[in-house]
Amino acid sequence: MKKDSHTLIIKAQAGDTRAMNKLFSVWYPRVYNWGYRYFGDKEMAAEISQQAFLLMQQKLSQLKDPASFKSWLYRTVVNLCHNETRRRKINQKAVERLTYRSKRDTAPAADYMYLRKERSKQVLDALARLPEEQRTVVIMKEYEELKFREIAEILNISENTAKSRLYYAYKAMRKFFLTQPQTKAIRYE
Amino acid sequence: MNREERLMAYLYGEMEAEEKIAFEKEIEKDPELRAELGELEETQFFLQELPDVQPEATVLSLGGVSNFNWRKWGVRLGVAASFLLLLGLTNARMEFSEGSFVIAFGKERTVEDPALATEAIAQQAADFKAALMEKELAFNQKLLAMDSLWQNQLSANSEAQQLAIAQQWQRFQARRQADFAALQTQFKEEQLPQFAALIQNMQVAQKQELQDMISGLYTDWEETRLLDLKAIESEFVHLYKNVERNHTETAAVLDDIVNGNFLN
Repeated sequence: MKKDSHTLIIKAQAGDTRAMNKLFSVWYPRVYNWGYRYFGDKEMAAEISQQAFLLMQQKLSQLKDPASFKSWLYRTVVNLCHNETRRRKINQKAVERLTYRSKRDTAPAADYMYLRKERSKQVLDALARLPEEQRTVVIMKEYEELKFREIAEILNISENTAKSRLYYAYKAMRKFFLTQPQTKAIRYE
Repeated sequence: MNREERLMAYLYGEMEAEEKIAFEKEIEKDPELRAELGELEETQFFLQELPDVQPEATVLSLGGVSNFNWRKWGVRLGVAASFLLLLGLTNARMEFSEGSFVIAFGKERTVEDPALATEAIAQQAADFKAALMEKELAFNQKLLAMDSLWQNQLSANSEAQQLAIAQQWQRFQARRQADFAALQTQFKEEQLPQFAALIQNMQVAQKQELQDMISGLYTDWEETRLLDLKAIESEFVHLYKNVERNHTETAAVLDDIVNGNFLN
Protein backbone atom coordinates (compact mmCIF):
# COMPACT_ATOMS: atom_id res chain seq x y z
CA MET A 1 0.00 0.00 0.00
CA LYS A 2 1.29 3.45 -0.86
CA LYS A 3 2.53 5.74 1.88
CA ASP A 4 -0.08 8.46 1.22
CA SER A 5 -2.91 5.90 1.41
CA HIS A 6 -1.41 4.71 4.68
CA THR A 7 -1.41 8.25 6.07
CA LEU A 8 -4.94 8.80 4.83
CA ILE A 9 -6.18 5.72 6.69
CA ILE A 10 -4.44 6.74 9.90
CA LYS A 11 -6.00 10.21 9.64
CA ALA A 12 -9.43 8.74 8.95
CA GLN A 13 -9.05 6.42 11.93
CA ALA A 14 -8.29 9.46 14.04
CA GLY A 15 -11.63 10.96 12.99
CA ASP A 16 -10.46 13.30 10.23
CA THR A 17 -13.60 13.72 8.11
CA ARG A 18 -11.69 15.03 5.11
CA ALA A 19 -9.51 11.92 5.10
CA MET A 20 -12.61 9.76 5.48
CA ASN A 21 -14.26 11.53 2.54
CA LYS A 22 -11.11 11.09 0.46
CA LEU A 23 -11.10 7.35 1.22
CA PHE A 24 -14.74 7.27 0.25
CA SER A 25 -14.14 8.99 -3.11
CA VAL A 26 -11.24 6.64 -3.94
CA TRP A 27 -12.91 3.37 -2.98
CA TYR A 28 -16.59 3.99 -3.58
CA PRO A 29 -16.48 3.48 -7.41
CA ARG A 30 -14.58 0.20 -6.98
CA VAL A 31 -16.96 -1.20 -4.41
CA TYR A 32 -19.90 0.01 -6.51
CA ASN A 33 -18.58 -1.84 -9.56
CA TRP A 34 -18.00 -4.92 -7.47
CA GLY A 35 -21.67 -4.81 -6.39
CA TYR A 36 -22.80 -4.19 -9.96
CA ARG A 37 -20.91 -7.20 -11.26
CA TYR A 38 -21.98 -9.36 -8.40
CA PHE A 39 -25.70 -8.59 -8.52
CA GLY A 40 -26.02 -7.31 -12.10
CA ASP A 41 -28.07 -4.44 -10.74
CA LYS A 42 -27.21 -0.79 -10.11
CA GLU A 43 -29.58 -0.36 -7.18
CA MET A 44 -28.03 -3.29 -5.40
CA ALA A 45 -24.57 -1.96 -6.27
CA ALA A 46 -25.44 1.35 -4.59
CA GLU A 47 -26.94 -0.40 -1.58
CA ILE A 48 -23.94 -2.66 -1.05
CA SER A 49 -21.45 0.18 -1.46
CA GLN A 50 -23.36 2.37 0.98
CA GLN A 51 -23.55 -0.42 3.53
CA ALA A 52 -19.84 -1.04 3.07
CA PHE A 53 -18.97 2.57 3.69
CA LEU A 54 -21.24 2.93 6.68
CA LEU A 55 -19.48 -0.09 8.15
CA MET A 56 -16.16 1.44 7.22
CA GLN A 57 -17.06 4.65 9.05
CA GLN A 58 -18.12 2.74 12.15
CA LYS A 59 -15.36 0.13 12.29
CA LEU A 60 -12.32 1.73 10.72
CA SER A 61 -10.97 2.82 14.08
CA GLN A 62 -10.84 -0.86 15.13
CA LEU A 63 -8.51 -1.77 12.25
CA LYS A 64 -5.15 -2.49 13.90
CA ASP A 65 -2.90 -2.46 10.85
CA PRO A 66 -3.66 0.29 8.29
CA ALA A 67 -1.67 -1.68 5.67
CA SER A 68 -4.38 -4.33 5.70
CA PHE A 69 -7.11 -1.82 4.85
CA LYS A 70 -7.56 -3.12 1.27
CA SER A 71 -8.02 -6.74 2.38
CA TRP A 72 -10.26 -5.60 5.21
CA LEU A 73 -12.51 -3.60 2.91
CA TYR A 74 -12.70 -6.42 0.34
CA ARG A 75 -13.52 -8.91 3.07
CA THR A 76 -16.30 -6.59 4.26
CA VAL A 77 -17.69 -6.37 0.72
CA VAL A 78 -17.52 -10.15 0.22
CA ASN A 79 -19.42 -10.69 3.48
CA LEU A 80 -22.00 -8.04 2.63
CA CYS A 81 -22.63 -9.57 -0.79
CA HIS A 82 -22.86 -13.02 0.72
CA ASN A 83 -25.31 -11.91 3.44
CA GLU A 84 -27.38 -9.93 0.98
CA THR A 85 -27.65 -12.94 -1.33
CA ARG A 86 -28.77 -15.14 1.53
CA ARG A 87 -31.25 -12.63 2.86
CA ARG A 88 -32.97 -11.80 -0.36
CA LYS A 89 -32.29 -14.99 -2.31
CA ILE A 90 -31.42 -12.57 -5.01
CA ASN A 91 -29.28 -14.88 -7.06
CA GLN A 92 -32.19 -16.61 -8.73
CA LYS A 93 -34.10 -13.37 -9.10
CA ALA A 94 -31.16 -11.71 -10.76
CA VAL A 95 -30.93 -14.57 -13.25
CA GLU A 96 -34.64 -14.32 -13.95
CA ARG A 97 -34.51 -10.57 -14.34
CA LEU A 98 -31.51 -10.69 -16.61
CA THR A 99 -32.99 -13.52 -18.65
CA TYR A 100 -36.19 -11.59 -19.03
CA ARG A 101 -34.27 -8.52 -20.06
CA SER A 102 -32.26 -10.48 -22.61
CA LYS A 103 -35.41 -11.95 -24.12
CA ARG A 104 -37.14 -8.61 -24.20
CA ASP A 105 -34.22 -6.82 -25.84
CA THR A 106 -33.59 -9.18 -28.72
CA ALA A 107 -34.58 -6.73 -31.46
CA PRO A 108 -31.81 -7.12 -34.03
CA ALA A 109 -29.67 -4.07 -34.62
CA ALA A 110 -26.21 -4.35 -36.04
CA ASP A 111 -24.84 -1.13 -34.67
CA TYR A 112 -21.76 -1.01 -32.50
CA MET A 113 -23.42 0.42 -29.38
CA TYR A 114 -26.04 -2.28 -29.47
CA LEU A 115 -23.35 -4.96 -29.65
CA ARG A 116 -21.42 -3.42 -26.78
CA LYS A 117 -24.54 -3.30 -24.66
CA GLU A 118 -25.41 -6.89 -25.53
CA ARG A 119 -21.94 -8.06 -24.61
CA SER A 120 -22.06 -6.32 -21.25
CA LYS A 121 -25.43 -7.94 -20.60
CA GLN A 122 -24.08 -11.34 -21.55
CA VAL A 123 -21.19 -10.99 -19.14
CA LEU A 124 -23.58 -9.93 -16.37
CA ASP A 125 -25.81 -12.90 -17.24
CA ALA A 126 -22.85 -15.26 -17.13
CA LEU A 127 -21.68 -13.86 -13.77
CA ALA A 128 -25.17 -14.10 -12.28
CA ARG A 129 -25.33 -17.79 -13.20
CA LEU A 130 -22.14 -18.67 -11.36
CA PRO A 131 -22.15 -20.04 -7.84
CA GLU A 132 -21.38 -17.29 -5.34
CA GLU A 133 -17.86 -18.42 -4.47
CA GLN A 134 -16.83 -18.61 -8.13
CA ARG A 135 -18.41 -15.23 -8.93
CA THR A 136 -16.53 -13.62 -6.06
CA VAL A 137 -13.20 -14.98 -7.31
CA VAL A 138 -13.90 -13.80 -10.88
CA ILE A 139 -14.63 -10.26 -9.67
CA MET A 140 -11.57 -10.21 -7.44
CA LYS A 141 -9.23 -11.57 -10.08
CA GLU A 142 -10.48 -10.15 -13.35
CA TYR A 143 -11.90 -6.82 -12.27
CA GLU A 144 -10.10 -5.98 -9.03
CA GLU A 145 -6.86 -7.49 -10.37
CA LEU A 146 -5.88 -9.03 -7.06
CA LYS A 147 -3.14 -11.66 -6.87
CA PHE A 148 -4.20 -15.23 -6.12
CA ARG A 149 -2.31 -14.83 -2.85
CA GLU A 150 -4.45 -11.82 -1.88
CA ILE A 151 -7.69 -13.57 -2.88
CA ALA A 152 -6.70 -16.58 -0.81
CA GLU A 153 -5.96 -14.37 2.18
CA ILE A 154 -9.22 -12.40 1.97
CA LEU A 155 -11.41 -15.46 1.45
CA ASN A 156 -9.45 -17.61 3.84
CA ILE A 157 -8.87 -20.34 1.25
CA SER A 158 -5.74 -21.75 -0.39
CA GLU A 159 -4.25 -20.17 -3.51
CA ASN A 160 -4.91 -23.36 -5.45
CA THR A 161 -8.57 -23.32 -4.44
CA ALA A 162 -8.79 -19.76 -5.74
CA LYS A 163 -7.24 -20.85 -9.07
CA SER A 164 -9.48 -23.85 -9.27
CA ARG A 165 -12.63 -21.80 -8.59
CA LEU A 166 -11.62 -19.35 -11.29
CA TYR A 167 -10.92 -22.19 -13.75
CA TYR A 168 -14.36 -23.74 -13.25
CA ALA A 169 -16.00 -20.33 -13.40
CA TYR A 170 -14.33 -19.69 -16.78
CA LYS A 171 -15.41 -23.08 -18.06
CA ALA A 172 -19.02 -22.43 -17.07
CA MET A 173 -19.01 -18.93 -18.53
CA ARG A 174 -17.53 -20.12 -21.80
CA LYS A 175 -20.26 -22.72 -22.06
CA PHE A 176 -22.83 -19.99 -21.51
CA PHE A 177 -21.21 -17.57 -23.99
CA LEU A 178 -21.25 -20.20 -26.72
CA THR A 179 -25.02 -20.50 -26.42
CA GLN A 180 -25.43 -16.75 -26.98
CA PRO A 181 -26.33 -15.43 -30.43
CA GLN A 182 -23.92 -12.51 -30.18
CA THR A 183 -20.91 -14.64 -29.29
CA LYS A 184 -20.06 -15.31 -32.89
CA ALA A 185 -20.01 -11.61 -33.61
CA ILE A 186 -17.78 -11.03 -30.61
CA ARG A 187 -15.37 -13.80 -31.51
CA TYR A 188 -14.90 -13.05 -35.15
CA GLU A 189 -15.30 -9.33 -35.47
CA MET B 1 -0.56 -27.63 -8.69
CA ASN B 2 -2.80 -29.65 -10.95
CA ARG B 3 -3.44 -28.91 -14.60
CA GLU B 4 -6.30 -26.42 -13.99
CA GLU B 5 -4.41 -24.50 -11.34
CA ARG B 6 -1.32 -24.29 -13.51
CA LEU B 7 -3.37 -23.03 -16.44
CA MET B 8 -4.87 -20.21 -14.34
CA ALA B 9 -1.50 -19.29 -12.83
CA TYR B 10 -0.01 -19.13 -16.33
CA LEU B 11 -2.96 -17.15 -17.72
CA TYR B 12 -2.47 -14.46 -15.08
CA GLY B 13 1.33 -14.48 -15.20
CA GLU B 14 1.64 -15.76 -11.65
CA MET B 15 4.08 -18.58 -12.28
CA GLU B 16 7.72 -18.85 -11.24
CA ALA B 17 10.17 -18.41 -14.14
CA GLU B 18 11.36 -22.02 -14.22
CA GLU B 19 7.88 -23.44 -13.91
CA LYS B 20 6.72 -21.11 -16.67
CA ILE B 21 9.42 -22.31 -19.08
CA ALA B 22 8.55 -25.94 -18.35
CA PHE B 23 4.84 -25.25 -18.79
CA GLU B 24 5.41 -23.44 -22.10
CA LYS B 25 7.29 -26.48 -23.37
CA GLU B 26 4.36 -28.63 -22.33
CA ILE B 27 1.97 -26.30 -24.16
CA GLU B 28 4.08 -26.56 -27.28
CA LYS B 29 3.90 -30.33 -27.24
CA ASP B 30 0.31 -30.77 -26.16
CA PRO B 31 -2.32 -29.47 -28.63
CA GLU B 32 -5.16 -30.12 -26.16
CA LEU B 33 -3.50 -28.01 -23.50
CA ARG B 34 -2.90 -25.32 -26.09
CA ALA B 35 -6.53 -25.35 -27.13
CA GLU B 36 -7.68 -25.16 -23.53
CA LEU B 37 -5.45 -22.18 -22.85
CA GLY B 38 -6.86 -20.50 -25.96
CA GLU B 39 -10.40 -21.03 -24.67
CA LEU B 40 -9.54 -19.56 -21.29
CA GLU B 41 -7.94 -16.54 -22.96
CA GLU B 42 -11.05 -16.10 -25.06
CA THR B 43 -13.28 -16.19 -21.98
CA GLN B 44 -11.01 -13.69 -20.27
CA PHE B 45 -11.36 -11.47 -23.32
CA PHE B 46 -15.18 -11.70 -23.12
CA LEU B 47 -15.10 -10.61 -19.50
CA GLN B 48 -13.43 -7.37 -20.57
CA GLU B 49 -16.67 -6.54 -22.38
CA LEU B 50 -18.11 -5.48 -19.04
CA PRO B 51 -16.52 -2.10 -18.41
CA ASP B 52 -16.64 -0.14 -15.17
CA VAL B 53 -19.84 1.84 -14.63
CA GLN B 54 -20.07 5.25 -13.04
CA PRO B 55 -21.76 5.09 -9.65
CA GLU B 56 -25.00 6.97 -9.55
CA ALA B 57 -25.34 9.91 -7.15
CA THR B 58 -25.19 8.75 -3.58
CA VAL B 59 -26.99 10.15 -0.56
CA LEU B 60 -24.37 8.82 1.80
CA SER B 61 -22.46 11.45 3.72
CA LEU B 62 -19.49 10.64 5.86
CA GLY B 63 -19.86 13.59 8.23
CA GLY B 64 -17.90 16.30 6.41
CA VAL B 65 -20.94 18.53 6.02
CA SER B 66 -21.95 18.36 9.67
CA ASN B 67 -19.17 20.82 10.57
CA PHE B 68 -21.01 23.57 8.74
CA ASN B 69 -22.28 26.16 11.26
CA TRP B 70 -25.65 27.27 9.91
CA ARG B 71 -26.28 29.63 12.83
CA LYS B 72 -23.01 31.54 12.42
CA TRP B 73 -23.39 31.83 8.62
CA GLY B 74 -27.05 32.85 8.99
CA VAL B 75 -26.07 35.83 11.15
CA ARG B 76 -23.32 36.82 8.71
CA LEU B 77 -25.66 36.64 5.71
CA GLY B 78 -28.28 38.69 7.59
CA VAL B 79 -25.75 41.47 8.32
CA ALA B 80 -24.60 41.51 4.68
CA ALA B 81 -28.19 41.69 3.38
CA SER B 82 -29.04 44.60 5.70
CA PHE B 83 -25.96 46.52 4.55
CA LEU B 84 -26.86 46.06 0.87
CA LEU B 85 -30.41 47.20 1.58
CA LEU B 86 -29.09 50.32 3.30
CA LEU B 87 -26.85 51.15 0.31
CA GLY B 88 -29.81 50.81 -2.05
CA LEU B 89 -32.12 53.01 0.01
CA THR B 90 -29.64 55.85 0.44
CA ASN B 91 -28.64 56.07 -3.27
CA ALA B 92 -25.09 55.11 -2.27
CA ARG B 93 -22.27 55.00 -4.85
CA MET B 94 -18.49 54.63 -5.04
CA GLU B 95 -16.51 57.81 -5.70
CA PHE B 96 -12.81 58.50 -6.12
CA SER B 97 -11.91 61.37 -3.91
CA GLU B 98 -8.48 62.70 -2.82
CA GLY B 99 -6.60 59.56 -3.73
CA SER B 100 -8.98 56.93 -2.32
CA PHE B 101 -12.38 55.36 -2.95
CA VAL B 102 -15.18 56.46 -0.68
CA ILE B 103 -18.82 55.55 -0.41
CA ALA B 104 -20.97 58.64 -1.00
CA PHE B 105 -24.67 59.03 -0.28
CA GLY B 106 -27.36 61.25 -1.82
CA LYS B 107 -27.31 62.99 -5.19
CA GLU B 108 -24.08 63.41 -7.19
CA ARG B 109 -22.30 66.83 -7.14
CA THR B 110 -22.66 69.03 -10.28
CA VAL B 111 -20.60 72.03 -11.61
CA GLU B 112 -22.51 75.12 -10.65
CA ASP B 113 -20.74 77.88 -12.85
CA PRO B 114 -21.85 77.54 -16.56
CA ALA B 115 -18.89 79.62 -17.88
CA LEU B 116 -16.41 77.42 -16.05
CA ALA B 117 -18.20 74.39 -17.38
CA THR B 118 -17.98 75.61 -21.02
CA GLU B 119 -14.31 76.43 -20.65
CA ALA B 120 -13.61 73.07 -19.11
CA ILE B 121 -15.47 71.29 -21.91
CA ALA B 122 -13.58 73.29 -24.59
CA GLN B 123 -10.27 72.50 -22.90
CA GLN B 124 -11.20 68.79 -22.75
CA ALA B 125 -12.17 68.84 -26.44
CA ALA B 126 -8.89 70.52 -27.44
CA ASP B 127 -6.88 68.05 -25.36
CA PHE B 128 -8.76 65.18 -26.87
CA LYS B 129 -8.20 66.49 -30.43
CA ALA B 130 -4.47 67.02 -29.82
CA ALA B 131 -4.11 63.54 -28.38
CA LEU B 132 -6.01 62.12 -31.32
CA MET B 133 -3.78 63.88 -33.88
CA GLU B 134 -0.70 62.71 -32.06
CA LYS B 135 -1.95 59.15 -32.13
CA GLU B 136 -2.88 59.43 -35.83
CA LEU B 137 0.61 60.71 -36.69
CA ALA B 138 2.25 57.92 -34.76
CA PHE B 139 -0.04 55.45 -36.42
CA ASN B 140 0.77 56.76 -39.91
CA GLN B 141 4.48 56.59 -39.22
CA LYS B 142 4.10 53.05 -37.98
CA LEU B 143 2.08 52.21 -41.07
CA LEU B 144 4.75 53.62 -43.39
CA ALA B 145 7.47 51.76 -41.55
CA MET B 146 5.48 48.57 -41.76
CA ASP B 147 4.79 49.10 -45.45
CA SER B 148 8.47 49.56 -46.21
CA LEU B 149 9.32 46.55 -44.07
CA TRP B 150 6.66 44.55 -45.84
CA GLN B 151 7.93 45.62 -49.28
CA ASN B 152 11.47 44.62 -48.38
CA GLN B 153 10.24 41.39 -46.95
CA LEU B 154 8.15 40.77 -50.04
CA SER B 155 11.01 41.29 -52.45
CA ALA B 156 13.30 39.23 -50.23
CA ASN B 157 10.63 36.60 -50.03
CA SER B 158 10.14 36.70 -53.75
CA GLU B 159 13.85 36.24 -54.41
CA ALA B 160 14.09 33.53 -51.83
CA GLN B 161 11.03 31.89 -53.23
CA GLN B 162 12.39 31.96 -56.80
CA LEU B 163 15.67 30.58 -55.58
CA ALA B 164 13.87 27.90 -53.64
CA ILE B 165 11.78 26.99 -56.67
CA ALA B 166 14.87 26.81 -58.87
CA GLN B 167 16.65 24.66 -56.32
CA GLN B 168 13.60 22.49 -55.92
CA TRP B 169 13.38 22.11 -59.70
CA GLN B 170 17.05 21.15 -59.91
CA ARG B 171 16.59 18.67 -57.11
CA PHE B 172 13.53 17.30 -58.82
CA GLN B 173 15.41 16.95 -62.13
CA ALA B 174 18.33 15.27 -60.44
CA ARG B 175 16.04 12.96 -58.55
CA ARG B 176 14.11 12.14 -61.69
CA GLN B 177 17.33 11.28 -63.56
CA ALA B 178 18.52 9.19 -60.64
CA ASP B 179 15.19 7.45 -60.43
CA PHE B 180 15.22 6.82 -64.16
CA ALA B 181 18.75 5.41 -64.02
CA ALA B 182 17.79 3.26 -61.07
CA LEU B 183 14.72 2.11 -62.91
CA GLN B 184 16.77 1.19 -65.96
CA THR B 185 19.22 -0.79 -63.86
CA GLN B 186 16.41 -2.44 -62.00
CA PHE B 187 14.67 -3.17 -65.26
CA LYS B 188 17.78 -4.73 -66.68
CA GLU B 189 18.48 -6.75 -63.59
CA GLU B 190 15.02 -7.89 -62.77
CA GLN B 191 13.00 -7.77 -65.93
CA LEU B 192 15.35 -9.18 -68.54
CA PRO B 193 15.18 -12.79 -67.37
CA GLN B 194 11.46 -12.40 -67.23
CA PHE B 195 11.42 -11.00 -70.74
CA ALA B 196 13.59 -13.84 -71.96
CA ALA B 197 11.18 -16.26 -70.44
CA LEU B 198 8.32 -14.33 -71.97
CA ILE B 199 9.87 -14.40 -75.41
CA GLN B 200 10.58 -18.08 -75.05
CA ASN B 201 7.01 -18.65 -74.00
CA MET B 202 5.82 -16.58 -76.92
CA GLN B 203 7.95 -18.63 -79.29
CA VAL B 204 6.54 -21.81 -77.84
CA ALA B 205 3.07 -20.41 -78.17
CA GLN B 206 3.68 -19.29 -81.76
CA LYS B 207 5.15 -22.65 -82.66
CA GLN B 208 2.14 -24.33 -81.18
CA GLU B 209 -0.10 -21.95 -83.10
CA LEU B 210 1.71 -22.71 -86.33
CA GLN B 211 1.43 -26.41 -85.69
CA ASP B 212 -2.26 -25.99 -84.96
CA MET B 213 -2.65 -24.03 -88.16
CA ILE B 214 -0.82 -26.63 -90.24
CA SER B 215 -2.76 -29.39 -88.63
CA GLY B 216 -5.98 -27.44 -89.36
CA LEU B 217 -4.96 -26.94 -92.96
CA TYR B 218 -4.14 -30.60 -93.31
CA THR B 219 -7.50 -31.54 -91.86
CA ASP B 220 -9.20 -29.11 -94.23
CA TRP B 221 -7.23 -30.50 -97.13
CA GLU B 222 -8.14 -34.03 -96.11
CA GLU B 223 -11.78 -33.09 -95.94
CA THR B 224 -11.60 -31.33 -99.31
CA ARG B 225 -9.80 -34.32 -100.88
CA LEU B 226 -12.48 -36.65 -99.57
CA LEU B 227 -15.18 -34.40 -100.94
CA ASP B 228 -13.36 -34.24 -104.27
CA LEU B 229 -13.03 -38.01 -104.34
CA LYS B 230 -16.71 -38.36 -103.65
CA ALA B 231 -17.51 -35.87 -106.40
CA ILE B 232 -15.23 -37.73 -108.83
CA GLU B 233 -16.78 -41.01 -107.82
CA SER B 234 -20.24 -39.66 -108.28
CA GLU B 235 -19.18 -38.24 -111.68
CA PHE B 236 -17.82 -41.61 -112.65
CA VAL B 237 -21.04 -43.33 -111.58
CA HIS B 238 -23.00 -40.82 -113.60
CA LEU B 239 -20.70 -41.25 -116.62
CA TYR B 240 -20.84 -45.01 -116.33
CA LYS B 241 -24.61 -44.89 -116.18
CA ASN B 242 -24.67 -42.71 -119.29
CA VAL B 243 -22.28 -45.03 -121.09
CA GLU B 244 -24.35 -48.03 -120.05
CA ARG B 245 -27.53 -46.36 -121.18
CA ASN B 246 -25.96 -45.43 -124.50
CA HIS B 247 -24.68 -48.94 -124.82
CA THR B 248 -28.18 -50.39 -124.15
CA GLU B 249 -29.74 -47.99 -126.57
CA THR B 250 -27.11 -48.78 -129.22
CA ALA B 251 -27.64 -52.51 -128.69
CA ALA B 252 -31.40 -52.06 -129.05
CA VAL B 253 -30.90 -50.14 -132.29
CA LEU B 254 -28.53 -52.85 -133.55
CA ASP B 255 -31.08 -55.55 -132.62
CA ASP B 256 -33.74 -53.69 -134.51
CA ILE B 257 -31.44 -53.47 -137.53
CA VAL B 258 -30.55 -57.15 -137.30
CA ASN B 259 -34.12 -58.26 -136.91
CA GLY B 260 -35.29 -56.05 -139.73
CA ASN B 261 -37.49 -54.08 -137.46
CA PHE B 262 -35.73 -50.99 -138.57
CA LEU B 263 -36.95 -51.48 -142.12
CA ASN B 264 -40.51 -51.80 -141.03
